[in-house]
Amino acid sequence: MKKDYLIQAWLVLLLAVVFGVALAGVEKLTRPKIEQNVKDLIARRLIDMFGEGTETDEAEEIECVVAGRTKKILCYPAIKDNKTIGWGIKAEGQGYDTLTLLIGVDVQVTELIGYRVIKCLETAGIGDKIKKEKGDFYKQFEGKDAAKPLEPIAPGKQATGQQINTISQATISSKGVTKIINDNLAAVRKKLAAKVKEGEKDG
Amino acid sequence: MADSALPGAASRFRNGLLDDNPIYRQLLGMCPTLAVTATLAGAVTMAGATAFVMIMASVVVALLKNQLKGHLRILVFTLTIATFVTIIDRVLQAYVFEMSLRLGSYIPLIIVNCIIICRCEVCASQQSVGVAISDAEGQSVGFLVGLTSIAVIREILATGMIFESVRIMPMWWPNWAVMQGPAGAFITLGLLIGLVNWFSMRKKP
Repeated sequence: MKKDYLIQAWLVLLLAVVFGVALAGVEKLTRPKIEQNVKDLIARRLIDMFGEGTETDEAEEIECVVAGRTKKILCYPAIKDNKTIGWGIKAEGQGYDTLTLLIGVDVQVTELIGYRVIKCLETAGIGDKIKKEKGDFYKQFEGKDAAKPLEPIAPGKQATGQQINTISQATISSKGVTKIINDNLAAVRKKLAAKVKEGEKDG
Repeated sequence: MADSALPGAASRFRNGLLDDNPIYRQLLGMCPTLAVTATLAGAVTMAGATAFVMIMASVVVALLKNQLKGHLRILVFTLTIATFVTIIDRVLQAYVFEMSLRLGSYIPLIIVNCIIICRCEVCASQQSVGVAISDAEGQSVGFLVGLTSIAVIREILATGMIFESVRIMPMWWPNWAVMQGPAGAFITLGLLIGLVNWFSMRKKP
């Protein structure tokens, strides 16, 4: 009876092979376009944060421990007039759902320029307020010290220093944003700054 | 069961639209129904992706129906559905990137959409390719009608607009934010199911 298993499953095995080949073909056809789409999106988000004329190049890959997990973080250079003026750090973490952000910092990784959303599946009309381009929530992050953690506080309270007012009805999502920024900056900041210094020496 | 005892192509198509409408009569595919109907564009994209998977899976299953073994058929259905879902997911990422980002994991989740596996089991694994295609088309159009009817109501009441750009409600309209969230999805779906039931009962002699 055991020997029959393979014979009985011939159709499943055959389909697995045929579908596998078909998927490999689709992957080969679509991969360059998808990679280009991701690059274009990153470039648009960098322009949002660093201004018109900003371009980007191949990302620096930095291996570090983020919230207890070893990860490879991609850091995209923000280039203006052939000079690197900052970085867009691609960071993933948890809001109400999984959130992917691009964290903008200056070239020495000392000042936070802001953040932009790459992927957000937060509840429509509630948690997705964190990606409203013209919202006040975005502006709070501009100019904060990249070396110190951000501290989320209740909406309406007077925010000072590193404090960020969370969004009413979107507390989990807005706390998620600050946690992702804190965790990723803490992990990547020194290593990225060291790479910049190394590059300056070589240059 | 003899093929002649089963509904024909026209009947299968009509049933998918009305009597066996996947959303209003069978209450299947509730996850995308509630999750992606905040905007009409999202609903249409989801319906299109589901239609592609349903039609292709029905064709493959109908072609293989004589080779299917009873205890392995669900495995074959799932393998087939998963393949076409992966294909449409990659195509959306390549050519409708922004929408793909917005729909996120709901596209891969089409794999577990009960409507598709149900049609493979009820129709495609028992009838000819032609009937299976008609059945999948009927169910796809029924699913599209279901999703868009909910999305139109939710988007207009939540934003005053349709397709996120065409204003329908007057400027003074106070956007009902609740309609964009899960509560709005449940309320709209419940009211529309009630309305469909009311019409159905009135039609009965």
